[in-house]
Amino acid sequence: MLEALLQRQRDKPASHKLIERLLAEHDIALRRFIRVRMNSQVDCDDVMQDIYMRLSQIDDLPAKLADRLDTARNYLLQIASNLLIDRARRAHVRCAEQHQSTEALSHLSAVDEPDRTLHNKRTLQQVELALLTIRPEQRNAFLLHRIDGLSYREISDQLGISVSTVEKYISAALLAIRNSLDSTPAGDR
Amino acid sequence: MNSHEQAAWFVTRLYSGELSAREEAQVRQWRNAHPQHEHDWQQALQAYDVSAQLYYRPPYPPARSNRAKHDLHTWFASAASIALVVAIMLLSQHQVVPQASTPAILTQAPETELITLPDTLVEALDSSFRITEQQLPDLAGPQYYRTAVGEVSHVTVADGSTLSLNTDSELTIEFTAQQRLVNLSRGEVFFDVAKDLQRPFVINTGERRIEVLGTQFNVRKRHDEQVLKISVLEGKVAVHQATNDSPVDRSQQPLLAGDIASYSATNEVVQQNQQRQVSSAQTWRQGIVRFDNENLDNVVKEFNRYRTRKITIHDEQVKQLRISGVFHLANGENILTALESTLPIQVQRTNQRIVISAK
Repeated sequence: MLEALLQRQRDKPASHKLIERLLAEHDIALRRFIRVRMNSQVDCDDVMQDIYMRLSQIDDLPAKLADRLDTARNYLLQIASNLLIDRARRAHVRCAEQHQSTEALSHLSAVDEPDRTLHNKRTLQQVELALLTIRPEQRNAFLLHRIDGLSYREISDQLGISVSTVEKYISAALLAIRNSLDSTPAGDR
Repeated sequence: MNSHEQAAWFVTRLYSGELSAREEAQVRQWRNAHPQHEHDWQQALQAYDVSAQLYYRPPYPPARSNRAKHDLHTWFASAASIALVVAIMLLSQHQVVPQASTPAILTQAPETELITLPDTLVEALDSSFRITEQQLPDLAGPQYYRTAVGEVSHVTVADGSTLSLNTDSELTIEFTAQQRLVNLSRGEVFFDVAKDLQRPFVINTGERRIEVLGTQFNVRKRHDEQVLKISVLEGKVAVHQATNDSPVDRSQQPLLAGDIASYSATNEVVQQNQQRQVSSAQTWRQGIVRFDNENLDNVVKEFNRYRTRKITIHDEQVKQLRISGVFHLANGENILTALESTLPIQVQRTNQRIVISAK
């Protein structure tokens, strides 16, 4: 019996606990991200569990992340980010039902809805216009990050600029977008 | 930097995924300092979030891509600007002395705050595993740290670096204007090293001197193998013979991401592209050990590092049984129960020791 078991175990390929490995590897960064983004209002373990669930629903995860350590963290942050926005949106709905102040969350209902409303189209136009006001290299760095999902370091490699320059470009793009949203009449949002 | 710019910068840093502990504190402090700051922070987050709607690349004039400049210089520039994370494993040749669960950390500053995690993490049985956290005071002179058997402790240092000490580890930290020096006398440590180009981060393990050049790595020295093992997660690490004050051997190849290097008195072996093993080498920081198709002999050796009541195996064949799994060190007895229920073995418990044999 022991022999047979040993033989079977030799034949079986090592199981890859990819998700657990990913979460363990990026645990500190993810938890810090969650704490900062939500200002300690949420239970980190809860969100980590949600991330685990979300990752386990992705079929081709290993292929997506193969040998791209740097992208993996970026990918996890985006998943965490979306989950936190979802949570905030649900909280927002609850707040609205209770007639509470929802100023800080008002934009969340507009993000990521599958059916793009007129509102979303206008916001998108605003973002695009804002990005036209900054330097092309700033815009390019920002789009590589937000559309192509590249990490700052990957952008640095691709464009041949330092990571700190990438960060300055991303920051400039965010500022431009933020200013364009600021000029929108409040009732329009 | 005005408040809008500051907010945009903080959000940019947040999404770098490399926010340091110090920056986290800075963001919190800044947001609390003025209601306008909090407002601007929320707006900057909003700017980031709405850009998620950019699902295609708009027809902008193409930016100049400067690939020609992507040379070694650029590589160094980007490598130098990352946060450093270093893990070191060093098992001394001394046998582990079983000790009672004494206070974990001794420092020169006894008033050091020691935060103990909730009791749910503390195993009431013999393994008494626990995770603690503390701040390193910003004091001159070396600080002494030690963890007991079955303890993992996270230490935050004044420069923003964090150190995680695994079970039964011992080190001193000494920061001067010239360098940040860690003398590791025993055990295993994971370093998240804050960037400071003026002060190199150096780890002295007795036999070797490890210089952090821009890196995440894990170093392990098995007391039974007399081997120092370094696993690099990210960036670069230089390893030198620690013959005191000898000039640094620049001909030595630095270790790069995915490398696992083993150093003994007579041998040096470097394996490349071992990302999976490298990253699994640091799960102990969360009180987790992970085995992928590992033989029971090694599994038990690993468990014993955290236990005062040691486990022994009586049967050579049983030692060769292989298991995979993730174990929480806080559940010392559950580990044994799990082994017993999945393998053809029996576990005998006495007051002093635990013996595993074939069924």
